[in-house]
Amino acid sequence: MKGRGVNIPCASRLLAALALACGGCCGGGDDSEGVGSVEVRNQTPYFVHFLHPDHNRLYVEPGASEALHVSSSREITILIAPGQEAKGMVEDHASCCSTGGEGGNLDCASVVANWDPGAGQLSADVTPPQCAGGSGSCPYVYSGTDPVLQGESLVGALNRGAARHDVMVLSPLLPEDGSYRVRIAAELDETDYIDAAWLALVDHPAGSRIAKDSAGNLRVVRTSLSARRASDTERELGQKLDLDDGAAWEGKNPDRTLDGKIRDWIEIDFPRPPSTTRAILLVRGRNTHLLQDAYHEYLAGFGPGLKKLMRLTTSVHGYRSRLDRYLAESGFSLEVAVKDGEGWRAADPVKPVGPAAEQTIAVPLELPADGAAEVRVRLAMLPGAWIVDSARISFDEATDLSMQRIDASSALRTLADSGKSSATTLQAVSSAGESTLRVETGDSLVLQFPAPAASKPPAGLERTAVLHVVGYYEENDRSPKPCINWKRLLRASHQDNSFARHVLDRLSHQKVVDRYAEEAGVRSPQ
Amino acid sequence: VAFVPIGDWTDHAYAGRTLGSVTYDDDLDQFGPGIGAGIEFGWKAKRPLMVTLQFERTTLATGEWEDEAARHGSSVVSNASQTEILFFLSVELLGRDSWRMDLRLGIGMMDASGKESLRDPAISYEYDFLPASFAARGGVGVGYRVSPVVDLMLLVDAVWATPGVEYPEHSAPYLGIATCLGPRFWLSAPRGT
Repeated sequence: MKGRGVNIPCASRLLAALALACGGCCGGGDDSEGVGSVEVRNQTPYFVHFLHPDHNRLYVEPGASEALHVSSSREITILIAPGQEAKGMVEDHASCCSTGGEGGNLDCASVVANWDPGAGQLSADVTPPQCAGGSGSCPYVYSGTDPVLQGESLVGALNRGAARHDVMVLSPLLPEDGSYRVRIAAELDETDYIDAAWLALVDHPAGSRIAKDSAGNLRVVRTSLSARRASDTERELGQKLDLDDGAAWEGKNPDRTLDGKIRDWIEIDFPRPPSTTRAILLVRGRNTHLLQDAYHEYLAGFGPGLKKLMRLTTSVHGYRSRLDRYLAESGFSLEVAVKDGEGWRAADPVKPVGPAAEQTIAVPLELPADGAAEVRVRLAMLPGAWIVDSARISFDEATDLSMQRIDASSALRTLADSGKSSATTLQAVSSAGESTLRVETGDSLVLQFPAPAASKPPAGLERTAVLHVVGYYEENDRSPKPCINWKRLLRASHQDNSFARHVLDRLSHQKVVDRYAEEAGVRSPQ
Repeated sequence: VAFVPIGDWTDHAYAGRTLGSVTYDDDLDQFGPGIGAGIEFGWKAKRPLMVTLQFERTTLATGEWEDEAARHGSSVVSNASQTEILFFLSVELLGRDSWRMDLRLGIGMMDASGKESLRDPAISYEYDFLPASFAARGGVGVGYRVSPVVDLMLLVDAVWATPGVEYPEHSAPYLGIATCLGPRFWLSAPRGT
């Protein structure tokens, strides 16, 4: 890697990490989770009850504010107090996180109860605490001048030690005014570091499509088959997974386990042509916002020092592999297995793609030697972590691909470069460059790739653009405090399915929200 | 024990308020009189003084509030109670063969609690506005000797406790009159010593 990062020698980083570890103080010295206040405000014309497992506040007058003294992140219920002409109840999550102060102080959300007189409906606005760490995520990738969100890149490349080479199939992307335009945006509370970015134009047989696998290899798919049958524990899914049509499966059953891990899954039967030994499973989907929010909240609970510690240890050997393993074990990936005899054989997982947009991921499958007329595939997820739009299978033979690499001819950062093409920026993202380009929150890297002179692919072929990005991202660290809630961290590390249970808490809350939204005729966002 | 709450602390949060098109009565009470039971242990070392430790628990009526809520479309089932533990010092003012009269003054704690359940939406919650309070209580006790070891006692006390009820926008000390009727058993020693 040629990344710049923070210029601290490795030994110094370890010493700093050790100092951080010894000095960590969040969460207090006893078993308590700390104390904090959830600020609540009643902006309805009625008396309202605010109900929290740690502290109720009843009969809060219209326009009044109160503080609920709490010890942890929990659900809060807001209720129009009875005996008034209006009725209403909403629930939301009042998160808290360690501030690093003495005594295990917590910084907690603030909650405002609102009333829509037109709809006669109660609602809640929840502002998360500042120490919740914002909502940093991976770079968003847009294509074209009329930008199309293609998805998130560098997913899981958190901090310099996890930098990676990522590949994204852009579909469809046609040259406009002689060039292809791609924008890489740091939209959330993050800073992106781009080492290199280029475009590959892939010519493949007309009527086929290109899909990448989780390792970044490209696959040509001419034909794909839909499932004969798909079912989860509760129902047959019919043709829900046949097409990329938004009709999706979301595993939400919290009561199933798979190899000791909390997982929900579907089993899909595909037809299998005779004498086939390999196949490509095509899964289209995305992670949920619920998973991302739960992840931020979960990490924030360990105190503001955890981000610092992760950055300090990013150069330690094995950082990336440990992070990948953590993400996989925690349920960020979609686990794939093929039925083989009485058991299941694991295939490559679908690594996380983030919640911004769906992506199609190819999963190579080794088929069982039984020669059966069907192949059964299992997709398992942490409940609430994925939305699977489609799942199809292809038995096409591997095809050699003709690829043409194109380097950017112009590059600019919309804010840092004042929207003007910059030779320095272009140099930074070119493969020959020695520096890393930093893209701050709110900024975007706009790249123009010249279309080749032979702008059309040869006869019988069609062309797909594939973006290559090398880099990583950092979640912004807004807190000056270094401490870590070690007690909570150790407890979480020894508790099976710790993160999964946190996600399930979130999911449980989401189900309540969905139920009320459904009753009100409103669909809540995922 | 019969407990009659008095003062502003029994007022419902809506009392005298207009919310939407509804104006609530100034006298709307959250709590009303209740009954309960108690027990008192005492030690009389030397006439005329006696010290006692008293436990008492009484209900608080909530029917007025439930009825008011029902009038406005809410099905509410609620209950509330108050519990006291106090040390008393009693001074015997009058002691005759069959009758006795004490002046009593006690301090301790009073803890009120309550809960209500709604049918729509279905939810229950505890009353948070009834904190444990420092209590003082004083009154008179009148006893009639039924047998050499049993007196029939009537105690009438005024009760005051602070901080008392604590709504978000107002608070008031607990006030009430407690009337207790029951036997007092003398386990040893003549009462007059």
